[in-house]
Amino acid sequence: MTSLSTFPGSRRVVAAACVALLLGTAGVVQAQGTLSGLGFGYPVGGLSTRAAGTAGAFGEFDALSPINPASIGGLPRTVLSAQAEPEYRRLSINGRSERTTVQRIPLLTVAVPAGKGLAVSLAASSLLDRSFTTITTGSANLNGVTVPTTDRLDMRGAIGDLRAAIGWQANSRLRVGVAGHVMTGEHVGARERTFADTLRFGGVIDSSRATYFGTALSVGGELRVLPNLSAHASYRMGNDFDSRIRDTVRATGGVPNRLGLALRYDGIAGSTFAVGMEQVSWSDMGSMGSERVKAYDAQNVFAGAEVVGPRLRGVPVLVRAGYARNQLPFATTGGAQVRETRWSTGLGLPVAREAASIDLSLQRASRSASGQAASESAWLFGIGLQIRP
Amino acid sequence: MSEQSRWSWARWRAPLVATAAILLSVAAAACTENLDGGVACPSLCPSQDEPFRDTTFDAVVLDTSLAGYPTLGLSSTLLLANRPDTLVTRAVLRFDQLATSYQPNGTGALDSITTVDSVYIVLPLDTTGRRGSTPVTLELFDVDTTASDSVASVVRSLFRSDRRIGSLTLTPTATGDSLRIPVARAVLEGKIASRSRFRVGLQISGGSGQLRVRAFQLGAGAPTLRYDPRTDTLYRPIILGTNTSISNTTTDVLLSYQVYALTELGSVGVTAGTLVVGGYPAHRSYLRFNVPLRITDSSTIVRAELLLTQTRSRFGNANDSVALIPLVPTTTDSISNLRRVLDLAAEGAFASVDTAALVPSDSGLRRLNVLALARTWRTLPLNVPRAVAFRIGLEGAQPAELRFFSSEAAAGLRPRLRITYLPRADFVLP
Repeated sequence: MTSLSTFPGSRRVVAAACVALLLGTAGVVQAQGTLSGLGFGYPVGGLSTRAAGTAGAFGEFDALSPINPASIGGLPRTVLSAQAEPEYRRLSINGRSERTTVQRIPLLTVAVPAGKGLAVSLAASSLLDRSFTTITTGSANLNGVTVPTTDRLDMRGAIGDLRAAIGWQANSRLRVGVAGHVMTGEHVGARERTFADTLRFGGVIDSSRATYFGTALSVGGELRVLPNLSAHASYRMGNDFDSRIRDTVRATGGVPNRLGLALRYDGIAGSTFAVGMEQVSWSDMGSMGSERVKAYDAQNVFAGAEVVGPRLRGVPVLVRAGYARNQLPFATTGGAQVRETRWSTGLGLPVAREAASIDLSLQRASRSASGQAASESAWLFGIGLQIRP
Repeated sequence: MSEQSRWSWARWRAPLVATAAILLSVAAAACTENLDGGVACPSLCPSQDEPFRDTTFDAVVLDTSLAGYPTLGLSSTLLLANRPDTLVTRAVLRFDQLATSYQPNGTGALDSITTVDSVYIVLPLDTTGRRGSTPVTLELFDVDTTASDSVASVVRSLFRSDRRIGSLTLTPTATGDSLRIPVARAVLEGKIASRSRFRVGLQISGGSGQLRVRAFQLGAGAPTLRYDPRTDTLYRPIILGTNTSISNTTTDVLLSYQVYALTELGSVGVTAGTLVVGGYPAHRSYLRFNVPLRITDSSTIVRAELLLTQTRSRFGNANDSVALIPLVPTTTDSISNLRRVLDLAAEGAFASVDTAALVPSDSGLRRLNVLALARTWRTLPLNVPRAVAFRIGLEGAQPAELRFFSSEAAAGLRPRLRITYLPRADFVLP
């Protein structure tokens, strides 16, 4: 079983990408457990940089985003794609704030046409990213004596989505696809507690590791209902999702079911507009965690556009923008669901005519939860490279 | 310049903007990751706070005191004492091979020594061990005999007036870092002439006092015998270190009989229900524990104390603090001889187990920090007993002992272990 790995340190992003590509999986390079990283982590989304530039609105029909398997039907050329997406996050609570930097390689994709409208694709993406470090001071009560302590908790890991898909373009109006998913990953935690009185008390260093495994099946379709308007839908049906500690299944839940719907309009030359929504039943994972965490289902909505911009060496640059309102899946028990709004923009830059292109995205996310004093904002930079040999 | 080659912002704008965007994104992607946080804790850091557990229990399954330390003649210092109410010791120095020839000046040839002059026994002293402010006499005796002188009673019988070969009156607390004790010339001349051994017994008499002699330095006996090979002063003195010759024996035995002590009056030793560390001759105490694996292997120990109940000792320097030095036995249970186990034990300092300072005349509960030791138990094979031993500082060179109640004592007085630990938890699941 291939598990998604974590690659600590942004300077190893390229190496991580190469290794992950060779392994056929995506390395998730850290995240953190703040307002957005509660529970099993932050739902990265599995979007290509192009789709991220539209805040996810193009995810249902973007061939590089492993969401709707129908989107690869009729693919004319082989495409290899890799991307990085660092996030600069600021958490504020009760007048205090802290900044963190997260590095991610959220998606690797290979899609190959198979003739007669068929195409297959292999993709590795991040489902949930859970990496953080907390350093706190406190005290421990040792048999009635209070001793000052410093606690450090390092959590690293992610759950990834390995998808193999096949899509078929039946005709100019209809595309369908089916895909199988393997959700796998691990979390590794290291906890260190040191006492102020180091002569009498020794520090505590403890570690714990959990692995995850689950499967899912997804289907999708695309129907051009009008000459310039198409409808897209996909559904992922999750199976059992196990969390294991030392090869023993500790809890079982389900891979979250997902329903996605989108409308695409191409009626204006050189431009594409899309709106969409998705519902993800994250509560299927609720039984996998402890009673300290509550899983919520999420309803997310998107809107985005891509238009032809200025030409670069004779090839047009694509300019994108989008907006999304998302709900995050995990919160503390008794806490309200975290909501996120995203504004995004992006560019699609040709590099070698039709042979390669670079996509850039910039997203601004704001996250909050009712009743929570904490709020979070983040900048997400995406850079993706597509090669079409 | 042609129109085509002239720089044009309109022409280069798009490539420059694209290049800048790419470089900016690459730079952002290459930034150093920083995940350190915690400002939102505890409200956003739900974690399973496992409480520390604290337990005090009778963990000792074997405790005993072993006598006879340090091994005969292998102490780096040697206590010469005449404290009739506490401790009386004697010392023996062996010079079995004497220099019997010398080189007369200018001849280049060897000549036999027929007469000697300025004969001294030189004793280097550890001045921290001096005791006694009244004059005492340090006497030397010829303790060479053809009888079995490995028997202490035989050697003791030779400390008599007809064998006295020298003496020095001194005040112990007023001595320097060495003593020169004159020896009768005729005695040494006789030994040289007869090619016999020179074995010297030392004792303090005529008052209460104590000296601590440096017995060995750099692996060799430190006391020396000095004498001039002629009566004139033109010859450098011959200086001999201690040495002995015993046929069919080991180097250790030879070393141990070069300089050694005899105890005339010492500590009372082990009494029922007690453990003794130190004394004269000194004892070491060994304690073996049975600690549940759920503590050693499935938890992190954050505090470990050996609770010993000290009982008052009146022996020797009872009011001076002494060092209780831990030893860490590391042998497997295939070695059942505890003396051998202690011979092979490591100094506690190597396992970061601290030395404690205690006063022998005190009593009450003593908490000895054995945290570093307890944390090593998890890494040891199961056939290595979890144990600790103790010796006293300046073992065999100071009249002091520490007494503790053993596991045979009443329940509340027995050695116990107090361990505070945190059970391992699978905290990784959110």
